[in-house]
Amino acid sequence: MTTFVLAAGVKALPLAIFAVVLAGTLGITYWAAKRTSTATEFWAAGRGVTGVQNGWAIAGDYMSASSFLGFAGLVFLFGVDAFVSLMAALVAFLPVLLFLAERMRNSGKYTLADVLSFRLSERPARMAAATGTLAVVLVYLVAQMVGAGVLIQALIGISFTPAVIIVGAFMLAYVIFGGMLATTWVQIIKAVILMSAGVLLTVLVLAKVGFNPGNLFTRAAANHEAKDGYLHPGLQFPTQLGMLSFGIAFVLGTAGLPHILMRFFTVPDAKAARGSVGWAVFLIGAFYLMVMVVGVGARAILGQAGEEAAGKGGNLAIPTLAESLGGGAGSTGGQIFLAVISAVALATILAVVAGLVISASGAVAHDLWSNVIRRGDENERQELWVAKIAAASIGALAIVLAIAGGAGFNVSALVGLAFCIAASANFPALVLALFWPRFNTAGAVTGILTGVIVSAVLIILSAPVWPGADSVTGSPLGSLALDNPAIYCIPLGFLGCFVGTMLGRRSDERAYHELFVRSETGLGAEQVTARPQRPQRPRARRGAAAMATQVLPK
Amino acid sequence: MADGSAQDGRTDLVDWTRIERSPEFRELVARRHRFVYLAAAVTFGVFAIYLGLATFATDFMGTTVGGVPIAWLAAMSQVLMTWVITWMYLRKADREFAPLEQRVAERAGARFTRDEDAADTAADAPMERSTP
Repeated sequence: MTTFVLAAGVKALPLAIFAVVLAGTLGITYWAAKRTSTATEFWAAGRGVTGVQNGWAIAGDYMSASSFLGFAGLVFLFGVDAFVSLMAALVAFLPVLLFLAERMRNSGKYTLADVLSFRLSERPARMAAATGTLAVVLVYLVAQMVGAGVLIQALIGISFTPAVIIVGAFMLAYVIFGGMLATTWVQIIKAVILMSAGVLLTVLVLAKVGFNPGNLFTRAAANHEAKDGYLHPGLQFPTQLGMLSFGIAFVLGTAGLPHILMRFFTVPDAKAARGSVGWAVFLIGAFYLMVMVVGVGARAILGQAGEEAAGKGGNLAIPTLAESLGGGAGSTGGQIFLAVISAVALATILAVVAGLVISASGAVAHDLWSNVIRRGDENERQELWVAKIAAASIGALAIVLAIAGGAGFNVSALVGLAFCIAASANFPALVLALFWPRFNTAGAVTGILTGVIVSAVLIILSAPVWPGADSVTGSPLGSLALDNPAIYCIPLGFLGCFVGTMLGRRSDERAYHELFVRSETGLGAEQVTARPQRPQRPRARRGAAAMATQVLPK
Repeated sequence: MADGSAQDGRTDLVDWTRIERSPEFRELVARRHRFVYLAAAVTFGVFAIYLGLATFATDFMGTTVGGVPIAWLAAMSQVLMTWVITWMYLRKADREFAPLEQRVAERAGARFTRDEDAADTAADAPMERSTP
């Protein structure tokens, strides 16, 4: 490696490739910034994203570094057990398609809270929904930033703190200057790069075993210390309950992730919204099929000896595999492959964190500022300024937390917490608001708060987080403690919604009926007929835009 | 929603309950919900079987067929299921639900437009937005 190493252990080749990716994304941001001046343009890319584009962007938004490096690493370490998490993360898109995608587009504007506050009391509903959104986003963001810092340190050689700051700075540049349009294109490009890398690695791995999957699995099992145990479930999860809970957290949590649901506001209509899920499901499914092959391939090719290079959690199994496929450590081909795959992994992180920050800025500026503090006295220019300040503050907070916690943060516990909150706070409230006539404000507030609090408490009590020996007995809950407590939290979240509803005042069901008709038909939804024209003056356009965008059946 | 702040459009001018009671809307909802709930039941059922097998039937899942473990085939079946249900829903939505939505919109149209005209003069000066 000596020929390619700069001073202080910085690896020049991966850095150069990563710099090219970064330069490209800045170009996109510059282009997008000139097209982003209104609130709709900032949060929803002017609702001008097509179904296909949005499908790729959802894939780019969803497949974090944990999908690419994390899941493949888990397959490398634990074999078929890790397939369960992958499949749960994919099947999760069916509830999104069947219950939420079109209904979000039909009845919301920029945030989850729009849908809730449509039929519930505006201020408490928005405050509760914003709490749920911010909790998920902040936890997930810190997890991604810590992951980014660790990865960049390992792959490029920049140390943890500057690495986190660089990622944070680019993320904020995309969001603050380019808004949703820049975020969308960063996500699309990342998804294209990621899929290409996946295809390349899969083909190379399969070529090594003569395109015979049987050979692949036989070699992989022979190269694992558990031998045939590698082909049996049971290596990853210590308890059966733990495995069930993990699966359920992913399946229902995805349908409560604010940055994914926000993507449905960027398309022109419900047809594009559902079509975009079709594309996303196709891409993510294909990618996960490839992750399984590549993960097993890493075991077959690298063997037990690769575990040290793959690091804790197996996160570096894929880069190590790439190096080996390119010709091995030290060879030119190996170095080029390693550098390319490293750059892909880093691009992956950038696209996800940008999506997270823009959804948080919506919760702060659109929900809390405009509709709670200013009580709906919307002032678009002001709202945009608040959005950018909010994005900067949340980004800065995440950077500070990531640096303060450092590599000591347990990334998978944080991701688990984010999905757990999404599944037990956001998901129940959203589904009940759309489908249960009796649901009311008190129900939403109690449900969301229950979900957030119970998830946080149970994660803190779980074995990997609770101070003490890192084992099941390390937790005060003993063997009942789960690394991902979703199986406890989701029923409690629904129960909170139900109890709150029963204790609270009966809601005005007239608003429910309006929401129901709108969400099912798209009547009254803001619609975009053609490419949005460039506004002369954003303020002056408002009255006219509200008229033109109303769906008016002829 | 009376303040209209969360949404565009003057929602109070539309009789939503009347649209909700119309036969077109009820047919749309009945057909779509029947499909959606069935599809959701199949999804969760099939996934629960997969999750159950992976959790409790580890020996079965570890059996190899032609060198590959059943666990891998079972995982691929989940991908296939997700693709098939998505494709079925998209097809049904385009062919069956979208025309029904169109019919609801047309039926509601008469009422929408009359109110629209009546409110037209007032709407020139955007009334429901507080002008700064």
